[in-house]
Amino acid sequence: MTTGTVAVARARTVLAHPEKRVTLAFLVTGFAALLVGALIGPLQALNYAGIDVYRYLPILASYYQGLTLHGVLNALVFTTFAITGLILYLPARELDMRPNMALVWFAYWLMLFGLVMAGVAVATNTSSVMYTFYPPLMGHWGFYIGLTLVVVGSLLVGGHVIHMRLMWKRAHPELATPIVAYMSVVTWYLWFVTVVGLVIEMVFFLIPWSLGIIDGVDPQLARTLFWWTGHPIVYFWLLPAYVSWYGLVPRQAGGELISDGLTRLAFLMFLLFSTPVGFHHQFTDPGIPAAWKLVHSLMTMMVGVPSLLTAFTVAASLEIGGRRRGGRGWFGWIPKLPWGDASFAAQALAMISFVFGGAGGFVNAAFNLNVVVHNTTWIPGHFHLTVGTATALTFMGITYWLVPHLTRRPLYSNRLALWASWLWFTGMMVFGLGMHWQGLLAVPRRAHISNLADNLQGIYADAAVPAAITGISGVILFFAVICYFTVLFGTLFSKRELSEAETPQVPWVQNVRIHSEGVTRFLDRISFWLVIAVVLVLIAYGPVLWDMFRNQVGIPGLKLW
Amino acid sequence: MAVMGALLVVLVVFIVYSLAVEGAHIGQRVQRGTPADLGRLEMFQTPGVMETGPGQYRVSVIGQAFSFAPALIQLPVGAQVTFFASSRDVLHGYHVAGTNINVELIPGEIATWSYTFREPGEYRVSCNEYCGISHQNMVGTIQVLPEAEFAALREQQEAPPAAPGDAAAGASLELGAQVYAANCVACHQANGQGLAGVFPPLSGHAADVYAADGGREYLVDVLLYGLMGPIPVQGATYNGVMPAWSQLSDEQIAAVLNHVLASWDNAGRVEELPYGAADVAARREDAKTPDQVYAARGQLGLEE
Repeated sequence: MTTGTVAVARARTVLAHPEKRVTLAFLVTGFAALLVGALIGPLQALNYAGIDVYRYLPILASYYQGLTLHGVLNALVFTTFAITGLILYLPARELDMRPNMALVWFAYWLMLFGLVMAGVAVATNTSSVMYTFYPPLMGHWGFYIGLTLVVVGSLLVGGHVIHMRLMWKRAHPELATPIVAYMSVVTWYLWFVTVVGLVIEMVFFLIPWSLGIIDGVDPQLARTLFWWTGHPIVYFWLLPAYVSWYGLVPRQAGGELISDGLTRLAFLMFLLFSTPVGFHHQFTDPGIPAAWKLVHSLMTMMVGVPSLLTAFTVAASLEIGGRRRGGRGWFGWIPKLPWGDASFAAQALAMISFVFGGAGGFVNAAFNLNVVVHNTTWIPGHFHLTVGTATALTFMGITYWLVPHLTRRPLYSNRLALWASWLWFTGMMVFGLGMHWQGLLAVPRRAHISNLADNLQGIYADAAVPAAITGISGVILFFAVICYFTVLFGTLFSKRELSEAETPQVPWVQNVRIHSEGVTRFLDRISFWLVIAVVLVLIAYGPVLWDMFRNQVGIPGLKLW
Repeated sequence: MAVMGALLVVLVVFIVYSLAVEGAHIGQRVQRGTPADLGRLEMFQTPGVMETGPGQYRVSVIGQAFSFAPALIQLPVGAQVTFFASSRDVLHGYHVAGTNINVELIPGEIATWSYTFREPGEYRVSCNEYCGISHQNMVGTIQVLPEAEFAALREQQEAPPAAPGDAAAGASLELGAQVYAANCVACHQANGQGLAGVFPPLSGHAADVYAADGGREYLVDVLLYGLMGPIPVQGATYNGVMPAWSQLSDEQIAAVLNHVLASWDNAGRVEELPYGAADVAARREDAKTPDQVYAARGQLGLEE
């Protein structure tokens, strides 16, 4: 094939699917954020082992600036960009509809503008307030406005995907929404219900406060608004991984979707139960009545149900694949799974990490166990297994086929991609062990303990063993980052062009259209379920927030870093 | 399905039961109050430990960047202890290792909870909510003592202090060094150099201020009322916050000033033990805001 025909072939692909290029832009921007954020990660892990690398780094003013950058880039920027690209592209292809490219590109540039704005604020050490934004610590207005724009851009795309599905339904009234599009759309609806708290906090409190328009913010109210968004946001991170686990991975493993209805039900349960649970991040807040904390604690347990549904059905769908490949006996199907395929291996390892992450989540959600671990290293230990592995490693696994699919470049090296996946998984499991263990010994999170004052040296000596384990995990994860980004950039900048036949296709597990009838038809009325979700949020938050809004104590901002 | 429902009911019953029986350690709101109100509230009039009845104690704690006031709390084993706590500036946490005490200190919220320490020993208290550059150094101690030991300690503390001979009585350098280690070292550091760009050095600077016209009174005001606003010190600008330390006693404030002025590059530049408790008591009569203290600093004519 000459270069001329290659160029023509590529032009044809882009013309047929212009959404490929914008998807790639979202993914690459998200992963660029992950690269910077993840490279700071080992410094945090070494900090807990008593090794202070920050003093040798002139570009970061403090551990706390580094930690703010790490959290914002990984948990807010990487996730939002990658997810927006992913659950724009997959439903568009499955519904066979072309997104409004002007709108989607506008959203991308808006998000990038916001990212640069917030990035400048953090890089200049004006906003070392962590990604939880707790006032009265006050960051630069550019930090708050920038991150708000990132959220607004993602909502534009989310609204558009919801609109595309409605158009599709209008054209195909007799059919049920195809499964991947269904899961994606429910995730976007969830995002809309989720972000209300954060948007109110930003627009009515933090932004005018940082601009000097209002003098004070009530910290208890701000925390409550933050956690309205702060808990369900983890499902916005997790559900796109579930989209792949339910809708794509079984195909990669040679299995099949166990139950279409169960899958839809699990997603609807997340829509209903993931938001009215935020107080379980605030069990230690004096300003929230204990009875309401108990209500949220029990609601949180409900979110465990769809996660357990997912654990069993996804495992069963993989078991089918393993048995078709000749696996026998209770566990014999596991080694028969395609472990040599880096995309599958990464996502299967991500699932395993989520077993431990989910189990720890039950502890966090239990009102009476939470006090032992609240704001200790247990918490970052927990969410590095969930968002840091279940989500991040799944997204890495997806890029192993999706980037070649979008760019028609071959995967740089399946072998190195396998190394990246195993190192990430191992490093995070070791990190999780060290951090959970230190947390049980009451070592506080977000603490620059490698730089304790002289008279406090040794105060956490009882946690020396898990602290050292945490430090070791940082080294493992550093190599995982190097391996992964070598694969990613090696793929993006490859000179070789894949032919049409060689290019990986989206591994849809369900290729047939399902008729909209019976239970499926009931589950497909997403707006009905959305109303119930909103009512649950109003019940869970209404009385407490109403009381807080009417009795505000404004506290002026401080910059203490 | 019935089994699942039964399990769920059992779970809920267990949680509610344990909260009802053992839930007193959960921090709850007493009332709302701004940091400016704290000094006026009855429970914060006498910070620290107070006996309220036989076997019953009250502990009042305020979190402020980057220490707990008081940092050391001594209690008898088995006593029923009711805590009152809040924050003077930003969010802090009050987590007592090895117990179920884990409460968010939120400016605007006055929290209360109860606890009984059943084992004697030293319990580590850590601030577990990020509060700024020296967050890691915000720690405290709860000493739980056998009853006899606690009683002896109380007796010793309640003994009348040595008769005031001269103005500096009670404001000794030993006491000053203790107060400095407990409250000041997290920001200004053991060597008095502060933290570059965040907290100003006291070494050399405190003696400069003392020598300025009005500096002697200004130093007491900074400790009593705090300071807020950008200040140039030894060629660098600092824009942090000095909290108010009015909860310390007159002796403690005089002692820590004496300690600072006798240490590092300040040593030998100021007469010995320049402050006494009476100097601090006199400045308490004219309450100021941190902004007023900042304005007073501008009048000192410091060349920096």
